[in-house]
Amino acid sequence: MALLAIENLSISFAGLKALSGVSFTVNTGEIVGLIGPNGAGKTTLLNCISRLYTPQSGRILLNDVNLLDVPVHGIAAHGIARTFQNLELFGGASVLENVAVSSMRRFRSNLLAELFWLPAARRDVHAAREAALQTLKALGLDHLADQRTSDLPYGTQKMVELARALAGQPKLLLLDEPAAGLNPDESRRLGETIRALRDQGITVILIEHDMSLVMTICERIVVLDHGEKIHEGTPETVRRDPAVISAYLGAEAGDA
Amino acid sequence: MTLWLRKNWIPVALLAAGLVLPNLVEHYGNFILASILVYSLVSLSLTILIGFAGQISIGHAGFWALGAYGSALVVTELGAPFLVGVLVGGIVAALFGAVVALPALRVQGHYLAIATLGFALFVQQVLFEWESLTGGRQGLFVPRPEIFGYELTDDYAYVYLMLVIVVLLTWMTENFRRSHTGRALMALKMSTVAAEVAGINRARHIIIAFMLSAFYTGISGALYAHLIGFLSTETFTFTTSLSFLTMAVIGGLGSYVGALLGAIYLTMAPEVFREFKDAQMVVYGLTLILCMQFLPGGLASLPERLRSLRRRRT
Repeated sequence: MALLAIENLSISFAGLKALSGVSFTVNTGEIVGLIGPNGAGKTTLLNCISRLYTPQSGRILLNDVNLLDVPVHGIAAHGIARTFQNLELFGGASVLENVAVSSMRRFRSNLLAELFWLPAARRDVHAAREAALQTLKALGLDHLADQRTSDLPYGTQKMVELARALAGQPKLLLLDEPAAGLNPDESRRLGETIRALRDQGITVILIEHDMSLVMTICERIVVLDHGEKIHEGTPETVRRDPAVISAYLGAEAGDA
Repeated sequence: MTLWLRKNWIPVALLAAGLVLPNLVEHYGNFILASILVYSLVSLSLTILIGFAGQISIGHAGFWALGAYGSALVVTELGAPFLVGVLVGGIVAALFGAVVALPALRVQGHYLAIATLGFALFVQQVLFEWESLTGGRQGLFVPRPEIFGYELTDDYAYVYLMLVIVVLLTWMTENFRRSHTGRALMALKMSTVAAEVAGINRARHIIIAFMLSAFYTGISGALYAHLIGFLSTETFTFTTSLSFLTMAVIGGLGSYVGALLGAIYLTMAPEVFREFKDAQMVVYGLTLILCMQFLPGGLASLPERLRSLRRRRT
């Protein structure tokens, strides 16, 4: 069953086509890889789905809801969460505070209760913290809860960002190069984590340059080049496709 | 109990000072104390707007004026009790705060600063021209504060009333900071995209920040009106807005002690700088530049700064 349907999506910036006519679907419980050379439009596509960008044409359907009618701050409530290619953490805040920002959405009382620190407001803050702590525990990061995020090593910061995305309790998780900057061991463990998340029912779209990670965990792969979809298939078909090989290795390989 | 005291000795000491000081000074001293409390509310309001939300305003004299005239007119024209007047002053300012927040949804930095400046000039001009309501160049007399039928004829009693209001609003600021709306604002300040994707509505939160900030400044303006007893639009100029900003920066944004120190600075500086006569504004400007250069965290960061300097020397 299709959870997400991208239909004929096009967007250009100052006349430069970043995406043109891209269509594909993502089924519930799948891990779909999104690959392609630098500048292929992968992050642009993720930015469209998470509504940071509005495409000039096309539709994005999530369970038959047109996401283009949803503002950026509405996507979390529709069950979408994401990470960022270049970390977008709340650097000055603690790990727990970072993650709790995503769980806040589910616990909102009114401003008056907050200003007078009424039980409702206190309960909300407590509930969001507890939910964030549970997420951190599930990822084995709870020992870092009180650390300042900006003091942590890069790989750990990436995991904190993943935790923050998960605290939003998404159905669809968009990961933008989660393995960049990780060592091979961390990268392998990340792969296991993503699989475990899928087994819990979370659908994943993964942008990644680490091909061994993509090839081992993705059921399906969409390949973009110059804003167009040049291939969609299993890891096996992607590996053999001449268009993909030529896009990745350049013209010489295509000629050879 | 001792642990609690060790953690909270600064606010406890300040509160004790606030309770004792009015008894140790003469009439003029109490006027000074009242002025400090009036300004500390503006300082607090800028802590919310700049410190928490990362927005800028060089038009807070506009909100101050709205609070002052709002309260004065409700009390004189409609015969409302003083405390109702103060609350109305805050609410009127907050409503205009929502309007001033609208440009903040589109522009930031210099452009937002100019928009807030335009707002303050507009308010001042309208109040000046609307003679039938505000007295225009004649000014407007404001009655002394009155509470439950008792007129607070001297500033001694008024200081205690203000102290209650300042403590209450400081407590509310801290509640706001640790609640979800405050946390959401700070998340937006640190990474707007990440906060929005996490479900935080930027527009809504920026409007709340401006409204709350304007509310505090409106309350301050109202308390000021009944302290001074006479309103003239000359009080609410661009210079006033700038001195508010100076106060917030010199005190140190984001800490309550800093807000208070800024208010003390703004109240005491004219007493000290009076010697400089026409060059006063130059001295203000220089102080501000020196502060930003050598003490970017404001006076509140002075102990920490001295500690780090001493550490470097040894």
